[in-house]
Amino acid sequence: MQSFEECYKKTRDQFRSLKFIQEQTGTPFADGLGKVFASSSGPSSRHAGSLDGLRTEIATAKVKNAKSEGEVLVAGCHDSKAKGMDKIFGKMETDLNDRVAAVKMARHLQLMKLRGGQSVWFFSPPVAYTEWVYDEFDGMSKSGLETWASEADETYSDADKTALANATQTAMSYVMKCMAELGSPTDATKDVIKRWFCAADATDKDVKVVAKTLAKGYRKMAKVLNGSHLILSDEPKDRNSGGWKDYAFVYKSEKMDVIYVQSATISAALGGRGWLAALTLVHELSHREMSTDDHRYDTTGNLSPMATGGLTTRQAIENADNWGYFATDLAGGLPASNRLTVTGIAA
Amino acid sequence: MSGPPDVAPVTVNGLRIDALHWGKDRGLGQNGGYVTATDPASDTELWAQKVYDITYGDKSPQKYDLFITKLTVVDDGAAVQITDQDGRVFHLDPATRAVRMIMAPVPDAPRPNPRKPS
Repeated sequence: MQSFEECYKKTRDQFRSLKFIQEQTGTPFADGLGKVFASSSGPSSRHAGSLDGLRTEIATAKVKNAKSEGEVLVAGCHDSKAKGMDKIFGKMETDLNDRVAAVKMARHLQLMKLRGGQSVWFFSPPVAYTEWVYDEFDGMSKSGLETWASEADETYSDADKTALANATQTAMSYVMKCMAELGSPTDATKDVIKRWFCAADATDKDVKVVAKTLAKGYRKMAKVLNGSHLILSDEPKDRNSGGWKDYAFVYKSEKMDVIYVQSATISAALGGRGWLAALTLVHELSHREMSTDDHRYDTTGNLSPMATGGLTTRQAIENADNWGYFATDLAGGLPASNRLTVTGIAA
Repeated sequence: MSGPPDVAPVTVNGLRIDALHWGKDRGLGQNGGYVTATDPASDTELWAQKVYDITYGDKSPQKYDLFITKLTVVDDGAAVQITDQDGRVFHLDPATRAVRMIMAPVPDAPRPNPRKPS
């Protein structure tokens, strides 16, 4: 298993095919979980309250029964109708591990409401996990499952989630500004377009052509940011193979709108550089929505086609960082010193 | 996104050898893994040599970029030792442009789930 989408689909199948929550076990888990995972396009924000309900019920059951979270989950997913050899020898039911994994996924999936009616999902599995939850639980004994499913210390803290939610909101404001300005760009907007995408000898017509391309791209990004299916997720395998230090990434083939956010973005969001966290989200969305490449990143500078040794106009339009920096700059979020360093030209 | 730090060039047999970070700009298909040789007198680039391959997959491209971090003169000034971000070390003979890997760190053992039976 490699992606959020794969994990989500397996959870969806679990809730659809087994119906174990209501029919098999009579567990106290919220009835609405199946509805959260009902759509193939992503979790349902309308039923997100069921996830909060699940967390509450787990916490209540832990106290009430003096059990660990894993014991509560395993008991809740245990098939009380198991009979014959399975029951006599306590043999693990075939799907118990997957059932617990499904509920564990739900337990660590959360919707955060943003201002203006927007929302963003977080999938923040336990930091102890090195694989997607189904792979974590695969082949595990019942007692091992009870122990391992008790891991609850999440990859993203509450503070991380709040900071990333704010960054998402900021990214949305950048993209909305782009949409507002690029339709019929003023001279000031044209200057910003030239700074990030045009050679020094670009004509007004050239700039308008670029503006049209940009408007198309930012419109697509706005649709994602303004929708209810944007998911900021951990990717446990990448995190545990050296990737956690990075900013973020996406899987180009993944159909769901998932951005895998990593520590550099979180550090920026928490460290007073919310603009950089927002810029990173725009950067990654440009990979998804406009199939951009990474010709260069910011620290080397000279992203502007007007700079000596800068990108060409074609490369700039293909370059994810130019999309991120342009949006941040146009919206007034980019510090002047960063503008100078990254473009390689004086404003 | 943060790019790689600059790498100090070295001089071998009168040629300046630089790490070329941004190969995609030049149509080389990868960022990192190339060095260039320049005639310092004329400041003319003579050649670019691939040191290692980078294979791009389904993740965002920057996840695969792998940059050179260090250039060192070896073999009494006749060759260059090149280190990459993964700690691998390569040997380049600028006279023949032959490249060979001379050291690769043993990869970290996978971190097994401690609660899962092996």
